[in-house]
Amino acid sequence: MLGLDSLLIPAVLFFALGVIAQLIKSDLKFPEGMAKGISFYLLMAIGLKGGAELAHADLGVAFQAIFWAIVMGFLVPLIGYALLRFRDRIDAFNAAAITAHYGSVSAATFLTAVAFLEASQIAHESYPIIMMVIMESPAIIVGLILAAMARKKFSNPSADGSTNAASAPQMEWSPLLKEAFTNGSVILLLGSMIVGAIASPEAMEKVYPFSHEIFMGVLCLFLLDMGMEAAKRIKSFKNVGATLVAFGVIMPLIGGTIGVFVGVTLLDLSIGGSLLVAILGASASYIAVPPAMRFGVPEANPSYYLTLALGVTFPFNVVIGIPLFYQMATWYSGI
Amino acid sequence: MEISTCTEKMVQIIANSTLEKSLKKTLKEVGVSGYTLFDVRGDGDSGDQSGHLEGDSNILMMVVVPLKTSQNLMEALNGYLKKGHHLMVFSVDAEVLTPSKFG
Repeated sequence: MLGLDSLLIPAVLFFALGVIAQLIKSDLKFPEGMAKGISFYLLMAIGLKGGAELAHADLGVAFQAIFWAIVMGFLVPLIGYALLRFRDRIDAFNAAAITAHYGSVSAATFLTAVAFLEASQIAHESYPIIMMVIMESPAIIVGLILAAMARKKFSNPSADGSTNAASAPQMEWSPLLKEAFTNGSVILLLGSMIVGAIASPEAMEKVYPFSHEIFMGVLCLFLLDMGMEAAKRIKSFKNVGATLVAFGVIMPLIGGTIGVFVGVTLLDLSIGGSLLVAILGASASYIAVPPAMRFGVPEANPSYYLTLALGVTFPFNVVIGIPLFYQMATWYSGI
Repeated sequence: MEISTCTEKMVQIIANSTLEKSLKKTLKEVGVSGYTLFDVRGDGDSGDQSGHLEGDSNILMMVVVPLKTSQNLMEALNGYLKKGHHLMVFSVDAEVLTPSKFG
């Protein structure tokens, strides 16, 4: 079924409905604050589900998964930065802020991949969920460091070094690092996983209607809204430029390929599990990272990274990336 | 009956919501004792600020202060602009009905 019909799952169809509603200028509109509320629910539910499953997991594999998640979290944004800075096409601040989004993850894309696997009745491990938690933060740190380096360079632009060095804005690291490790998504996801892991299974069953049964329906609602948000960003493509739009498609292909390799070869996961790791590599955060970059790399243009993460990469992954990386994982694990 | 008023400065700051904590701290540092804060939406150089996600939510802070404080506040806010933050700051004269608050 993994051709075009793989797109015929309610979550993806609702995403398409959102895009269409926006394109035909429908007055369909989510109430204020609803998307934020739903994203809270989704993180909490996936955390509870993952935590309950991880309670029975193999610790050795879990630690390996954490290790490779950290490696991916640092490696993917560095590759992205090198690509963006190639021939100086994108300035250092925008490149640092954009690439931080690509090193981090999009929970909504991950959950759409889970929906895809469940609709196709393909099994998957729960280790990628803990990898998702881990991968939220390293890329933010990489982005901040790259921006700090650029700032240092700009503050000493010439050999005489007489005037500008003193006026270079100083980076306040502690609030930024605190933000990277204590941001709302990380706390909610990690906290829910711990609750899911240590709560008694009988008590957890009482929560199942919340964490399991309504989950896919709520995901549809979220993707409907994200479809509208993604389509709204299309009008910004012109400002963002062809180079960045192309990056929004090329980068997930690179990150996803690295993810397939990590999932299949390094972690020895099933095809379903490897697809989820690929999606972690391919997706770009548009919930946790944008606020961190707005605060930490104010020199960058928020319109660029939000348009890329939400308007280009998210739809690309939902429509093309998920089935593509599934095929790639199937092919690669067969050789 | 004549109503007694005084003229103060009303400063309005439109910023991304990630700056909320930091701006509140700045207000305190320059001696602003109170503020009014709204969640707002808009569009501009930073793209569509829909208020849907944490990264595209704006706030509007409104303070009414004496001239001297408003100058100090403007100076402090200029520091944000120098760092590259996308901030819209403007001030207007405001006729205030509760002059006792401003000594």
